[in-house]
Amino acid sequence: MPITTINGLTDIAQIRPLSKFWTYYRIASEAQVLTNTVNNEKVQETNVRYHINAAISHIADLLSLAMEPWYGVNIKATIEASAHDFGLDYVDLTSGGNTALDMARFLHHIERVNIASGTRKGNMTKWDLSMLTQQKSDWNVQHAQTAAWTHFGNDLLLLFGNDIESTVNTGAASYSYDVTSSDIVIAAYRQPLLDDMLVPSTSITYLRTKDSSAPTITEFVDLPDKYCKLLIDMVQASILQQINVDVPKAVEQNINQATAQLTQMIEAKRQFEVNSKQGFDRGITRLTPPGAV
Amino acid sequence: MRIWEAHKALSLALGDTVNFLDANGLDATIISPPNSMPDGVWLLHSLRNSQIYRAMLKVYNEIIMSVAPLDRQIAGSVIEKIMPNTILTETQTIALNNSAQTMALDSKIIYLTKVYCRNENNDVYPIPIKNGIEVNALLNTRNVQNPDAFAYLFNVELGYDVSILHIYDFKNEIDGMTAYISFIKYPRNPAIAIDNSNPDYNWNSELDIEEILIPKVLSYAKLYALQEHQDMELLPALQMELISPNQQGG
Repeated sequence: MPITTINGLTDIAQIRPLSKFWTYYRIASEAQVLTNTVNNEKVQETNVRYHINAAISHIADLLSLAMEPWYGVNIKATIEASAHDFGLDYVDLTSGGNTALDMARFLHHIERVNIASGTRKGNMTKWDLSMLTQQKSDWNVQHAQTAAWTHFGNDLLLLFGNDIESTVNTGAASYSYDVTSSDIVIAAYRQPLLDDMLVPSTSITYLRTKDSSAPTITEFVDLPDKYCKLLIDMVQASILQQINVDVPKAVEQNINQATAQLTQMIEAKRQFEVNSKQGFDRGITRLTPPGAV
Repeated sequence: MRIWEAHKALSLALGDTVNFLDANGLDATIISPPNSMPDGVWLLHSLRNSQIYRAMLKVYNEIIMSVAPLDRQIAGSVIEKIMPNTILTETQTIALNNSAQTMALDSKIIYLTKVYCRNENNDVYPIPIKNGIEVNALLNTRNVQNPDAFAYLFNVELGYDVSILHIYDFKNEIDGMTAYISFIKYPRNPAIAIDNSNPDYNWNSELDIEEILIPKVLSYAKLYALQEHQDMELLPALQMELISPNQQGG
């Protein structure tokens, strides 16, 4: 099993949702009250639940693009025992068919990759895919001690320089480093957990728990409480769209303002990355120099 | 208003005479209802029955037609407002078969106002009422979003005092619950109230319509009677009376 744990857990389902108060049921109830559609004549409960799922996915996407910390996970993996078609080392993110740890469909994007066990530890450099394949050459001396990665499809592709022993690099008389059985630690952003959309009698997310009893952890939405107002506004807008009613200006404004804030955060983050890159080009760097593992 | 009262009122309004005297020459209606409905000079009581019944249907027809363009929910609440005492509620236990149930209701329904279910904790589950077109749309295989349970009133063969209600519940949510079905049904025809020994429905029974609508029923009955007799002198005045806004809704 290349992926061994996510946040130390062995099942995606064990990840705890982010809200402290808002359950799926409470969000649905609030949105239906605000749109005056509590009586399910035109808007059915299932519709509202789908609206909630769609809105959570959208907000979580913005938050992860802005690299807000909420959906960050650390994934522990080991290098696959065979080489990738590209001739590179890799980690299969579908985890060899173990659906409990199938990160390929659960990832938003991968942020950093580290090697974190054994005597050799360190950050791996993110390279472009063509860079990885280009440098995968027996004559590569300059990057003999480089460890680089890229995320492509269901795989995390890894390049280890010719001086590092791995699944692909074997047969040399001696290597400076050996990462064959090292843990690869991946800092990634995940997708949010969503309502399972099962009927309330079998659902573990949508239980219509009355406020007098304590909801179980799976009933909470996977969104920080401070963004739940935005979620409710978005669900409200979807409901009104569904019944062909104009969305009130105030609701539209709230949604636009909140998403504009998130977009600004994304832009600021992007600018930071660009500045870092420019500094790097001029030799001013906070990044690990080439060759470091 | 009782049936014999309506007959008396209609006869008098038409200038007809009705013999309600008992054996002692007293007005029998003051003491007790008549054992049989006397005929008038102009109109037989069976004709008056027909006119009264047609007038009742006309009043219902006006109400239904006025709410027809409205959203079903609003229409239901308007009808419950206009005729609060005419609304009947039937209860049935939900026993789903393949996510659906066909219920036979012992009434010929004019308008279904609301349907809801209750479980043993008295939690209420409102059941939207849909028409045939909407039902087709809700059963659309191309849509994976199963709707909440909904009800559909199906027509039955003419001549049966039964209405068929279909309930669909793809979530199996309301199975075993008690369904409460509220509706107005067709009024009872006064012509059936022949046998005065029938304790359920006789000359002394209330006219089977919301009491506040009776003035309008009598006006229409009078119109039909005069039309039948082609009494053109009285007609224009009566037509004015029916059209006048004060008469709307009784």
